[in-house]
Amino acid sequence: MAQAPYCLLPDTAKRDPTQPILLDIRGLWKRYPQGDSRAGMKTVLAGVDLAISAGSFVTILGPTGCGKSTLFRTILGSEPPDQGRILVNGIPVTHPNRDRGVVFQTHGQFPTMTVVENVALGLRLEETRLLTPILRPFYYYGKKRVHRRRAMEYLERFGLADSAGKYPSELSGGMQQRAAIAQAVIMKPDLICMDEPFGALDESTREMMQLFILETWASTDMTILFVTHSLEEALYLGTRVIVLSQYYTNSDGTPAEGAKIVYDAPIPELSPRKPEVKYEPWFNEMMQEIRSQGLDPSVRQCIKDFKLRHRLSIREGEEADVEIPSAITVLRPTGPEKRRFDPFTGKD
Amino acid sequence: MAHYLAYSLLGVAYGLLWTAYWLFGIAGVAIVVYTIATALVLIFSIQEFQRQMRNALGSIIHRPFSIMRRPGPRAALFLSLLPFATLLFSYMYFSEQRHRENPEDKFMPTIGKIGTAFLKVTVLPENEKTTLYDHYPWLQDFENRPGVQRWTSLDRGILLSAFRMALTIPKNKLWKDTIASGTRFLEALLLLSFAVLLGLYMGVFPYWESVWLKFMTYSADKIAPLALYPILILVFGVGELNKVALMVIGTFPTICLDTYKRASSVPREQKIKAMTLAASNMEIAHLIVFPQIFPDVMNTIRLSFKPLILFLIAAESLGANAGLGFQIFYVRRFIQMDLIIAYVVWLALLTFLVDQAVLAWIRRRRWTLTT
Repeated sequence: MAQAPYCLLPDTAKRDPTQPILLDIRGLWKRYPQGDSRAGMKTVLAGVDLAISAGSFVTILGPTGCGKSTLFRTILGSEPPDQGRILVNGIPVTHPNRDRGVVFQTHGQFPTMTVVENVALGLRLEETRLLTPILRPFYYYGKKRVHRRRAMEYLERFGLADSAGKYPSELSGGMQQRAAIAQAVIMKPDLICMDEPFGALDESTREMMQLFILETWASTDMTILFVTHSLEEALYLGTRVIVLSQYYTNSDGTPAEGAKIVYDAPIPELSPRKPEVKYEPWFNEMMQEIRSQGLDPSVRQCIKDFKLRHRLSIREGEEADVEIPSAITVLRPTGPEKRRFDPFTGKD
Repeated sequence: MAHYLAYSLLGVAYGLLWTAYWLFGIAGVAIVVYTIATALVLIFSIQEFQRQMRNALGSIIHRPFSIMRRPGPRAALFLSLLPFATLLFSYMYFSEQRHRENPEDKFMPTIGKIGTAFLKVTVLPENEKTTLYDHYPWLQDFENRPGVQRWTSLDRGILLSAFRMALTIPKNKLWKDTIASGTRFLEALLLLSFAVLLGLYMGVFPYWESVWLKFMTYSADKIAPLALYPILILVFGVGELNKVALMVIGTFPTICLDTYKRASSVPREQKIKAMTLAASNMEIAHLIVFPQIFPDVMNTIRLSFKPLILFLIAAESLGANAGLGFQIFYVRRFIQMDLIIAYVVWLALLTFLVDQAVLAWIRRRRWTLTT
């Protein structure tokens, strides 16, 4: 059994030193009140330090239930940190801004507007106000024409020119996500945050979208922060992969409380890469390394010692040697403090 | 074969009941019905019998009462017209009976009398002694113009007659009442748009929600508006305002709370996405949230037309000079049921038309929600 790793110190040298620091996170702690208030606060993020340089494609991985989404929301600004600070281009993050674009997994577009209006929405919201169509109609409709033309440029580039006049409910999932990405990209923000944007798509569409996002990123100078739970996608897409995990041991032996960055490495071949890299040895080695360091250790233990016989195959007189290892009981995560699994010795 | 058995059994039962009524009156009917019901229950509670009957009568018994069986279009039309026809025909029968006993009966007028009353208030001006020229002083000169005189010849005269009939409409009683009630109704609707606005802001801005939510839920929604009406008469005086106030107070909390619920159930991701697109707070409320909830809000308003009209009629019954409710309660004192029924049917027709109009407006949208 591979031992859970010790917590790493932040190594900001992992980022590309030739580029300026875009996103600077120092000492980020985030706590939520636990189910019943008398039990106190549950730490979700424990002292996350991160520095991302401009122009990089950073993928954030992590098992389900770790603070991926919390970290995402804190970077975006929709939730304030309890401790620590986040700077984007030197400016502290307080609320969602036009400097950080976002693409969510679902509800990518606003259903009451056509695709073209959706994509041009950011431009319109930035330049005109709520009452401008009434108070200054000529100015407003002139600007609307300009915005529509720019939006059509992006739609043509993204291959959505035919569905410009359609409503989002008439598009397929992949097209909706492409339009959502166009909606974010047209604003030219400093940072584009994506929270599992291809999670709701089927496999072939997902591969197509992966190539699409690589092409988009390579042709412009945007910085992308990509949160995903798919190991293969993270290693294929990014220039740098960050693994967030709540399964680690502190350097002084105290149990883990909250999630930290347990793995932070640049990905060897230069992005964008050909899809064939998914079969190369370095790819699989990296996947194994991340799996051993980031995932729930009890799952791996289960897989090794798994012994179960179906009751129908048990003959009379035999005993079912269903040896359910006690680690199976923690397959349903009930929180780190209720685990009976000792990371040091591998027994409970 | 099973059809004939069932129909003949029904015929036998009908015959028994008729005989019992003829011989023993309503008591006999009750006894026979009770006996037959007990026998049926005893018979059908035997499982073996149930099984056999199910096999024998399967096609008849299961046809109307099975979940899987659906009526065809003609059968569906016939069945849906059945309650209307029953009501109409039974009313016609009983009103005819009463009319035979007492030709001056005012309590259940025949359909013809209702129609006559309706025409009286629709076609004729209010006071039968006046002519159209008294109501429209310019009409005499208008008709004496040579250009109009050309249209009074025989084959073109129908246009002038239609014009004169159209002129009678604003002067008849029904129109005046409809206008009076309709004005109050529209004024109430105009004020209810503020309920939508309030609900929208409650759903989008948490501070505003903290201010209004408990008030709306616990006090405003729980007061019976009709019980409040005398206070409203004292506060707003005797006139138009107290009726509109009653209607608004009665339906404001419902619409406000419904709008609030829908506005706050817009996914948070959309609001955050809008913020990243440089939207201000009000822009999120009016450009992102409101267009999504608008059809459902219109539906709620449509559903609250019923209490709105209820409060309108109730308010007009208590203190008004004109209006549909006023007219209904005014002629109640003279027991002119024909006029009352005519007005009730007219009110139902208006409600139906407004309802359909709003539904058509809601259905105009081309987009559907993505989820």
